Amino acid sequence: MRYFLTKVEVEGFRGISKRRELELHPKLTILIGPNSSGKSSFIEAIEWGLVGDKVPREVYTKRRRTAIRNKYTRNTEVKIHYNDGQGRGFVIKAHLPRHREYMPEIDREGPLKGLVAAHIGFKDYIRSVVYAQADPRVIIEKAEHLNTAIDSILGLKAYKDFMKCIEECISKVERKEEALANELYKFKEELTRKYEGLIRKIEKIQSILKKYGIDPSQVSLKKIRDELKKLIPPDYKGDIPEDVEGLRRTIEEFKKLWEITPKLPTYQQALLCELEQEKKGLVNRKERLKSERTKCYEWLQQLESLIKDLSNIEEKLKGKNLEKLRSQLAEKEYQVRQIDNEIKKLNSMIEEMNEEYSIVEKAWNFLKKSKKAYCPVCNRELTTGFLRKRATLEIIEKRLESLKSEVEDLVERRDKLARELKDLNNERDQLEKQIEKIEQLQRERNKFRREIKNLLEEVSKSPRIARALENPSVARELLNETIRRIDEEICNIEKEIKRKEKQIEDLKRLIEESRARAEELSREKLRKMDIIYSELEYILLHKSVSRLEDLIEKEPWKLLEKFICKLEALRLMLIKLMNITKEVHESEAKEKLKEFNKILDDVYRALYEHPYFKHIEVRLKEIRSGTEPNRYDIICISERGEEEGIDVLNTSAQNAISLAVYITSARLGLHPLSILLLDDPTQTFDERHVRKLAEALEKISEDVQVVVATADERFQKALIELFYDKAYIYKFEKDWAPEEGPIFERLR
Amino acid sequence: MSVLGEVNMEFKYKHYFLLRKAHDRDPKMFGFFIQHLLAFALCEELGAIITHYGRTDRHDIKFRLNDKLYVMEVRTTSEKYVDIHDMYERLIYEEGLRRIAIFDLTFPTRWLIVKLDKLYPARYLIPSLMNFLDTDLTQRIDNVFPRVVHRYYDLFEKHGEGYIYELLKARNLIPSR
Repeated sequence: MRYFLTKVEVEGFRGISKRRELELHPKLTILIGPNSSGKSSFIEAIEWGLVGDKVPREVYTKRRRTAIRNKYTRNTEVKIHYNDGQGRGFVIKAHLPRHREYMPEIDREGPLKGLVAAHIGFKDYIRSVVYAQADPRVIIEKAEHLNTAIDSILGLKAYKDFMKCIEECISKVERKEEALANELYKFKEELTRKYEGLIRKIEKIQSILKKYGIDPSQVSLKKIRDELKKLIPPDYKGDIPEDVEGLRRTIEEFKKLWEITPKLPTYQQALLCELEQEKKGLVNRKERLKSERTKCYEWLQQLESLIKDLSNIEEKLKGKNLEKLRSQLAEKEYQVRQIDNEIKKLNSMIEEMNEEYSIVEKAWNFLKKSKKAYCPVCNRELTTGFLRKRATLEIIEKRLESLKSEVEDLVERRDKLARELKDLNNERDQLEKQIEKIEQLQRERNKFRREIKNLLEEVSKSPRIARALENPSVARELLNETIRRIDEEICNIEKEIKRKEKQIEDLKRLIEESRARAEELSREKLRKMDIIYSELEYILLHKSVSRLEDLIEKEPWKLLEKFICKLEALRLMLIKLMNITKEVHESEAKEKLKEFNKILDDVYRALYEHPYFKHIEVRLKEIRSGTEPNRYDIICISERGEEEGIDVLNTSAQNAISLAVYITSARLGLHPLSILLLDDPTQTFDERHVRKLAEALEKISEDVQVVVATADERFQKALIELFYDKAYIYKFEKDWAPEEGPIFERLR
Repeated sequence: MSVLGEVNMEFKYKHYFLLRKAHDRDPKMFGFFIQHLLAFALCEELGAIITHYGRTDRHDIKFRLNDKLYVMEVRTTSEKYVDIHDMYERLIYEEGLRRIAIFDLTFPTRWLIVKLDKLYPARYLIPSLMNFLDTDLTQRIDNVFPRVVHRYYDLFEKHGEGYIYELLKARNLIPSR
């Protein structure tokens, strides 16, 4: 039972713009026509529709996308109809939408649904079949591709995948092992650090104990308790616990108590405080008195200076009568006033005289000038006559002279009086000054007296103050008396202070002695406590060390180690398994190759007649690990049994070999859908070999569905001759519009 | 409660610190020192008779214990891996029970006496060698080894590795050349 394609529908793929349908013969379909008439587009469309694009998605470019798509249509779609051999038809749909960059998935119906997943080799297989194209030499030169092709033909892909799985497993196991080992070593390091730290601590404590002269091996809890009982401080009330933690706490408490004990206050200290306070009071009082005394001295000085000033003033005041001076002053003032009046009178008189003089002078001048004259004095008309006039003038002259002399006298008298007035004024001023000074002195005296009174009132309240005011010597005595009293008091206080100081010193010495005694005691106790504490710590550390050692004894890492061991065993097993798989793989490949070689040889001989190298054979060269394909060699064998590489052959023979490989792979029939697509296979063949290929196709098409496209006229002729009745033959036209798509018609 | 018993005990893993100290002092000589200590442990504690003892020869120790002949190669390691390429070559052609004695210096230190029969030359994780252990001999040596270390460490510290070798020779524990 074999599947076969019945119809292909193509739209928007490469050269085919509008929808075209091509019905396929179950055995052979022939596409003939000149170059670039659209044959290869159909062949490629069938390949694309079956297995998708040959360029993988990772290297898919824009150029490739435009190569697949047709310019004139929006959609790119290929539908392949196929029959499952029981008369049921299904469709394979490949569709590349305009907005997509890559075809998402081929939609398959019927038995081919999920085909790629089910048969891993199918894709490579189909592709290898399809590649029997124009120049197969390219493929032979690309040995890697041939290797993959033969691998997939022989069905060794499963072994490859299995081996890859095992390798991955091994690497995973190794990684896991490594990680676990890391963890283990980390854990061990931590353990080491802990253990080392404990041992170091123990050694330190041991050295301390040896310094105190204690044998570390003789330490015990009971001993510690007994010793602790002797060290109970006076303030402690309670029992000594038995457990280690309790003991530790008790020791810490004891330590604190013993540290405090020597610092506690005693009744002697209280006494000392009292005494010191008393002494302080006395010293304060003494200071106060001293300051009072200095004040008194200051007052005394003040008093002396005051008294001195006072006596000076009084001396100055002696023999000076103020009232007398005042009466003198009044007299002088009276005199001054009189003289002043006189001077005023004289002044007015002088003015009058001056006026008279001026009038007389005028008259005289008038008379002198005029012929007829009137007496300027008596205003009478003078009788003409020179004598009279002369007599008058003389009178007037006399009068003028007298007036002049009078005025001069008056002026002299006035000047004299003015000088007198000045002297008098000076005298009066002096007197006034004297009076003022005396008054000031009197004020000062009063002030000093008041001050002295105040002073004395402050010092004492003796009734003698009143007298002291009058007599300054009494005040002096009073002050001196006060100072003497203060001195006496200070003397007494100093004596008292000395006594207190002596008492304090004695008390202090006593206190120091007792404290030193207490401190020594507590120090001794604390040292003992330290020893006990380190002993206790020693015990504790020992316990923790023994606990840790117990833990190490149990070997907690053993489980991890076991697991690592198991992983190692697993790794070894996997390696073994891989080796075995390799061996099986090799033997399987060799066996399969035998069958393959048989068919290959037949096909090759049917296709080509080489004069010397009659047979060919494929040999396994190397089994490779992982996803890399195994390596194969194609060997030519002559009739004598000589073996040569494929490079010895000519181009047409190489072509024939590659065609033979692909035809063989198709004929082996590894998959129910076996189809051979041949696109211009007759390049470099001469007419004889073209004929042979056409004849070979007849035999091949019995087993495999074949689609052939060719532009070779010889081949076309041969094919039409041979298969005119047995196959579908499509003839493609040369002239066709790219918007419309290729034009073809079926001959048969 | 008395803790006298606990106090008196020796620390079982303290020899690790001694060996670590020796290793830090001179890692090159440390390998020889460990080999000498193993020889002491075998002869003095387990009663083995050494028939071949080489410092720089083909294999390290050949000895007879409980009527069995052992051939041994000694190595110390403080890493996670051990390579047994050259040891494999040295031992593979020898007669007797072929063993590799690996002293693992990670805490707590231990001996791994590995059977060579199932191993092939490669690099092995230390814990994964437990699959190929000669358990009986390993345990016996591990039990007595700390005692030997405590006994001879002071001498090593004072006089060096050569002195220990001379001591082995002087006590007729190893055959003189």
